[in-house]
Amino acid sequence: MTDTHVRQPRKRSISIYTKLLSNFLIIAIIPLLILGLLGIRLSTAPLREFALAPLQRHVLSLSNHIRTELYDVREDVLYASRLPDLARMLEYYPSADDTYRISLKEPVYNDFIELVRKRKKYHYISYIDETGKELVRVNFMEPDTWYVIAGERLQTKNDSVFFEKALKSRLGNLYVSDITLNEENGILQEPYTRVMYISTPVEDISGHKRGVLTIALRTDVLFKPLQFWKVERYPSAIHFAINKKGFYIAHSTKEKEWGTQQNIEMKWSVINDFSNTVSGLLLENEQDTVIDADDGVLVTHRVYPEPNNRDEYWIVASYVPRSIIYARINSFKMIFFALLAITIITTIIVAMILSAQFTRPIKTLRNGAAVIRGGNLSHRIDIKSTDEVEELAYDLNLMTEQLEELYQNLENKVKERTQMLQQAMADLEEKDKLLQESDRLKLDFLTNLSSELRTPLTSIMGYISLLINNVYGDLNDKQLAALNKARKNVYHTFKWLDGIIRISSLSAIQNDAISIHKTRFNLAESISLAIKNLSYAVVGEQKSAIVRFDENQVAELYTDKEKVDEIISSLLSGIVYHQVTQDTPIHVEVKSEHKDGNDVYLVDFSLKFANKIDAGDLYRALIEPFIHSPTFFNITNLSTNVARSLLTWLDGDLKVTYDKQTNNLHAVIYLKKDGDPDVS
Amino acid sequence: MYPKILIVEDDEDNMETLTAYLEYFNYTVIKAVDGEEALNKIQSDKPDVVVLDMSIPKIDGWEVARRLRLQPENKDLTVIAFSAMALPHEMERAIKAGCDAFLTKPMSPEILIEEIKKILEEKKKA
Repeated sequence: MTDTHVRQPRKRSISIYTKLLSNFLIIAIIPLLILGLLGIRLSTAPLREFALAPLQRHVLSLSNHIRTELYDVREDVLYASRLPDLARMLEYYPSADDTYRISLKEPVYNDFIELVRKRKKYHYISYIDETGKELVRVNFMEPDTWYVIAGERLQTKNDSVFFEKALKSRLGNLYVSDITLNEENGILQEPYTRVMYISTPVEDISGHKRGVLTIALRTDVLFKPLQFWKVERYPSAIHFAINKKGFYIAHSTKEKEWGTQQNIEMKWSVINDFSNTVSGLLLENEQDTVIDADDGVLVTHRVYPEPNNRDEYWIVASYVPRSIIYARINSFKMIFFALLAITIITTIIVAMILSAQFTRPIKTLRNGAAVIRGGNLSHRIDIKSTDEVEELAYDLNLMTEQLEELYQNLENKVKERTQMLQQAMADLEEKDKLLQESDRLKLDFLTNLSSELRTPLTSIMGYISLLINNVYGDLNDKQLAALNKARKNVYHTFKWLDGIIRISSLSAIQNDAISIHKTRFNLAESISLAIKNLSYAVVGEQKSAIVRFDENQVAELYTDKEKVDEIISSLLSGIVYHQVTQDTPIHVEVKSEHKDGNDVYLVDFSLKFANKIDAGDLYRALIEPFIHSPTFFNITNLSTNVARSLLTWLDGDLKVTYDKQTNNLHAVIYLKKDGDPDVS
Repeated sequence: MYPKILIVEDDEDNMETLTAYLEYFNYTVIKAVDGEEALNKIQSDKPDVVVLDMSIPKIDGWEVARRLRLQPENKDLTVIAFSAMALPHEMERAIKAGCDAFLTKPMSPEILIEEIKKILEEKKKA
């Protein structure tokens, strides 16, 4: 079977809009966030490299510059050592006189002058003979001043390291000295001029070493780019070069360089600026590297002044504070985050717009359905979504239209039926009025009939009583017996006539005309009264034999006494009339019982027969009086029916049973001890 | 001492049988055939018990009972109503009007005497 019961919707916990929005956001934002955060994490290293790349290029450029400059110097030294003019001077100089010697030197001077003027970075060029004495020397000063050193000003360099080392070298080899300060005749020249000597041995045409050619290179010119070359992206970067001991041979901050006027003795080292760890890494790492310094980043590169000597080297480095390097990375990250946030916000807005767009027709449908449910069947839902929702709205509108039509038909039918009902009610009311009038007339008639019957009966019974009681003189036994029989039959006739009238009047009286008048009384009094009435009406001298009842019983009731009296009287008169013989007295007993949740009294009228009687007699004599038939009344059961009708008003009951074993007949009246006080 | 009884009844036969029966048993009987006469006889003869038919000419039994109860000297007078009106509410009407008991016709004289005795005994006890 299909359950057609409409289930009440559960309380809504979350709307479709929220669900849709949540799904959109879960699908879009979570992957976006994961990808975004992963991207940021993975891009950190490349970003760092990207950020450091200009610095690395700069360090490499500086190193290449130094290397190229030194290469050029070496080439100049070798070139100068092989000048034809110098060879010619070496060949003829030993045997020439002073004048000739001067003429031999002059071309060499010119060659040297041309070289220093062209290069502009040499402090001087000199040729030193094998004894260590300078023979030719040209000094240069910026911007374009040269000096030919001659005579007394020529010096002896036989104790100079570069002279000794170069003289011992093979032809074509070069000796590159450390950076040192220029001395003249063993005295430091001021202002201090930092120089390095590049020297090579010089031989004559016969292959004998005849001396050394030396160029004193001004290192301030060599390292000039460290001062002036800037990294466009990191203008505040610090560039420096150190020797293998860690002393600054060049620095962006001039004062830190060894050999400056301020730093002649301090020998400023990287130890002064960096921790031991960073200094160690800087000096010992042979590879080009990036070192995370204490609060910055160092990019380094090694330069070998003499390519054939790997023991001597310089380290060119650039230093940038970490905050500057990471400022770019962080800036990039911030931009990325901002883009990510903008993307997420845009996604949320788009998700909200899409969710609203999707759910708007559903909301319209829901609101429309609510209006229809509220009873407005003329309402139509207008949705133009070109999808299933529009189709659903169309179906719902069709249903509503059909429902409205049905409702309209139903309403018309209801109006029609109501009119018919009103007409029927009016007819009924009219008939009821007629019926009431008929009832009233019937009741009036029955009342008059009862009154007209009772009044003469009273006088008949009165005259019989006068005669039986010898008021009008003594009577013989036959007369008395006849009068007793007459009185019994008069009483019985009255009872059934009265019963007919009562039954008729009961049907005539409307329900609300019947009233219950409750009083508290002893049931025994009602029984005694009934017995008395009966005894006066029947055979007086035998009254004690008719009914056996203990009048001292206490059985208090709270109900309508008048009706109880009449019930008992009616029942008892019926029983007595059909009493078979005087040998079967009626025993009346009152019992208390709990029946169907109520305390009740049972008034048990029982007849015990001494002899067996046949079934026909039993029915006629005993059972018939108690047969209840709502459609058929006869003389014998009339009083019982009256009793039954009155019992109905009092919510009581009557049961008649015959016990074949004991030969006993029982007629039992059930009466509630306390009638419902609210019933009246 | 037998009580003095006023019988108020417009039916001659009933009046005759009741009077004969009561007098046979030594009661003093006074008669009245309508309400007006009954009220006069009560004033003049001072009966102990009034047996009052409710449907009587001139002034009906209910009105007689009501008037008696308004008279201080007769407010305790024993009044037994008897009537051919046997509908259930008739007894209530009679009691409300001031009657002490209500008997319905047909009524044998024995019952009337029993009722008179019973009421007088109850009043005596009270």
